[in-house]
Amino acid sequence: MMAGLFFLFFVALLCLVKGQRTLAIWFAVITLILCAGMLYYHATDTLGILL
Amino acid sequence: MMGRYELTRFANALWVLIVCLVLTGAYAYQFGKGLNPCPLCELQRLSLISMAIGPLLNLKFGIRMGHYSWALISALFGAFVAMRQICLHICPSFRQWGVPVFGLQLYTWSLIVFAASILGCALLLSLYRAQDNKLNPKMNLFEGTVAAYLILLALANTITTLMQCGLGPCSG
Repeated sequence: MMAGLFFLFFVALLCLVKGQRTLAIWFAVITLILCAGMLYYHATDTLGILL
Repeated sequence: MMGRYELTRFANALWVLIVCLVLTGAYAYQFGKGLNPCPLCELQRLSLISMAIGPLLNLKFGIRMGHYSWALISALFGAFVAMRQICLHICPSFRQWGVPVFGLQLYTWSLIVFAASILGCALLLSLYRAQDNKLNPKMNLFEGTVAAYLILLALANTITTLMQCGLGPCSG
């Protein structure tokens, strides 16, 4: 899942350099929302993951 | 002598380059010390890439307020993740994550980078003029190189994270 987030940003960057501004912004927005979801996922089990 | 618009474009390109160098430094740390990044570290890397999209949009499509706001949103998210990680390790009895660099942990450096980016964005916004978004010149060699560098880093992070975590949520 985490690799997928990097991949989505990679796609957003590719759209950006190809001149697809709207698509790049949509990819970036959706990915950052998914990042926030991932933060929430890890926050609910932080002690088990980090310590 | 650079004009205001050229100076703004150069500063945006420099911003992307600094983000790339930070991500490269994180890679050097990861492979040099043999330490895999934790999930929160990965989220900070994601925030850095996301933040760099803002100035890159400025370089490709002309300077707009919306592009700066995207960089600010990403920087705030990244700073929040870094602060959360600092808070997790703030008690003296808790063990630190990784080896300090110049006396500070990487997540502390990360917070400094995000805070500096917010400050830099505020300074760039002070240089903004409404007519800038009407100009849409082509990216020069330096700007194109930093864009390619960032794309390469995003791809490299995708591959290394896939190797480390597989398709799962990355358990650290």
